[in-house]
Amino acid sequence: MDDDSKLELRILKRRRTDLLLTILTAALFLGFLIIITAFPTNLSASSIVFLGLLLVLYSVAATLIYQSWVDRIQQDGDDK
Amino acid sequence: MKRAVTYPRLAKGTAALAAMATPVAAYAEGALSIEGKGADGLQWIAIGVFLAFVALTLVITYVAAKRTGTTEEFYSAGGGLTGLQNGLAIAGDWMSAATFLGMSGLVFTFGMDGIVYAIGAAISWPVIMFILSDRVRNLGKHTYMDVVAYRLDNKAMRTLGSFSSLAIIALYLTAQMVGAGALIQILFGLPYWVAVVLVGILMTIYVSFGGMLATSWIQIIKAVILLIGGSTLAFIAMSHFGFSIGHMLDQAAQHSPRGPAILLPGNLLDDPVAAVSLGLAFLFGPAGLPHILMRFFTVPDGKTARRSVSWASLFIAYFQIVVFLIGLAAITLLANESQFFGPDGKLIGGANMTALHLSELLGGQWLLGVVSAVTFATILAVVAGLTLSAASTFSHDIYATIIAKGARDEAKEMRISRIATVLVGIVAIALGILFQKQNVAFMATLSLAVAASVNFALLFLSLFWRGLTTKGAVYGGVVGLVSSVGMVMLSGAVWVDIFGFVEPIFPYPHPTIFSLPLTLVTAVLVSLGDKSARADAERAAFNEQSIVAETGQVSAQHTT
Repeated sequence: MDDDSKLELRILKRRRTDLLLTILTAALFLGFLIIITAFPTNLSASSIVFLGLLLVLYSVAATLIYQSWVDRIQQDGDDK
Repeated sequence: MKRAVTYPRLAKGTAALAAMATPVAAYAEGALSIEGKGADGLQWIAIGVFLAFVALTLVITYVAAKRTGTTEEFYSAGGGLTGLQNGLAIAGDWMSAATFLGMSGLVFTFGMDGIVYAIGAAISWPVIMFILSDRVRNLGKHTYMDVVAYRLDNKAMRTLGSFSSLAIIALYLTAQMVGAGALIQILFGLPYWVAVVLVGILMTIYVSFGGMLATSWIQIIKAVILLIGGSTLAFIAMSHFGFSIGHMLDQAAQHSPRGPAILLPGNLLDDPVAAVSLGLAFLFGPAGLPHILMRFFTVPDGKTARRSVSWASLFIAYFQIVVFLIGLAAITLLANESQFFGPDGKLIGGANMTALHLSELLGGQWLLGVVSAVTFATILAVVAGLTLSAASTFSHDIYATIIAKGARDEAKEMRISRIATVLVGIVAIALGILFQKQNVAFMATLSLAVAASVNFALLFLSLFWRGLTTKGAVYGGVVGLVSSVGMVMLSGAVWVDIFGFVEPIFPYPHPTIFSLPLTLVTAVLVSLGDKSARADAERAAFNEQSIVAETGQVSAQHTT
């Protein structure tokens, strides 16, 4: 496989991952919103705070891990 | 303030979102009733800290002005910021005074529903990282429209983009100016118009002389002092509860006028459709704000752009937690302090004064003075960023690209940038004064909705869908702009609160759940039906665009 094909594959792989991660992020947040508005009495305050903190931590962790992943695949691509 | 009779919670929701994005917009009317509240002690401490900040920022502007001689330096600080610096500046752009004041007030008033806003302010950053960050940096040069216009028709896309960007900035800036005037009036006892003119003059000086370099450093310094100020207040507040969140929750249930209901959702958000619409605005709105997108051009490459987002995400997430804790602690700590409540039993100055009242309670006039000055500093920094973004749209997108057709004259473009900055400053002052008595809460809703429905939608399609054509983008953008503006106009925030009708025609406070899909569907359908030769060429250019977006290697035909 030549360099151009490898680059194209990398772009496709990253684009697919980006879309999936965006959908996941939207689903997590919108799901949280739907649950607390549709079933407001089913969760305790502690649970809501816990879930909220998890989502905030997810947002930080997702950006950090994603950044490392893209750095790595781009570095690998450059090395090859 | 008039409220929608049949949709009281939705109206509150609109005001709440506005409070997040606009300093004191939601309490502008109530705030006026406590003019001159600031005692002499507060005024002198606050004025001293504030003057120190202004002096420092003017020194920064002076130094930056010496280093700002080209459009590259004016628009994007020469692309020389590090990831950490730009991350702080991005965080500073997003952590407005309203995030600090508005969100702590929301938690104080509505309890658990406030956490939605805390999460919402943090959750858009992964989306910005996945979809935009390095792609925007690699494809653009000065404004986000460089990206959308990369393979589409330059003139058409920049004309559309200029409309939407200037609309977003005007709405955001007006709300900020009205909020700034009201806040300064309260804190320093200055007349409203003096406060607005003062903010307008300072932001014009920062931007016209120092450009992006000065604006970035002012934003960085402000972000640091806001993080320190917020953390200090949260630390002192939490020490009253033994640093136990569980204890804070128990105490809040005992001391809130709402009782245990303060710990349940539904005080503000009780409709899943409205909540999802709000959620979509939070998820995708920031990714379409021109002054945020412009920050990606201040770093040297795509890798640093990604680092910027990581840092920004970290700072913003931390700050959202801090502000949530401040609001939660205030429910208990302010409960028995009658000096902070008016005869009607409501917090003096409105709920957005929660953090300021808490700082006075916990640290006396000194802490109140410092926190007040920090709050004002955040307003100055945010309006400077907005002004720079508007000036860049005028000089780079409208003048240099549409009028001069790319035949660039560096000196002339710089001159036009500075003239545009002064004009934007004058317009901002005029809008701030004109809208003083208006409820501007809807403006923040509208700006995020337009940003998500037009700018983000077009950026997303242009980067991820080969089939997008100029025709599709224009039709989609126009539909997004008209539908988002139209729905907000017909919602309770405008139709009932401003026009005085009994019931809103559009039953939800946030249009994004409808306007964003409308934009995407229209753009896709029109693009699919576009069989022109130009459309074929635009589709064919997608591969090259993808390679540049990934690698940052600019082809020869796009170097200007």
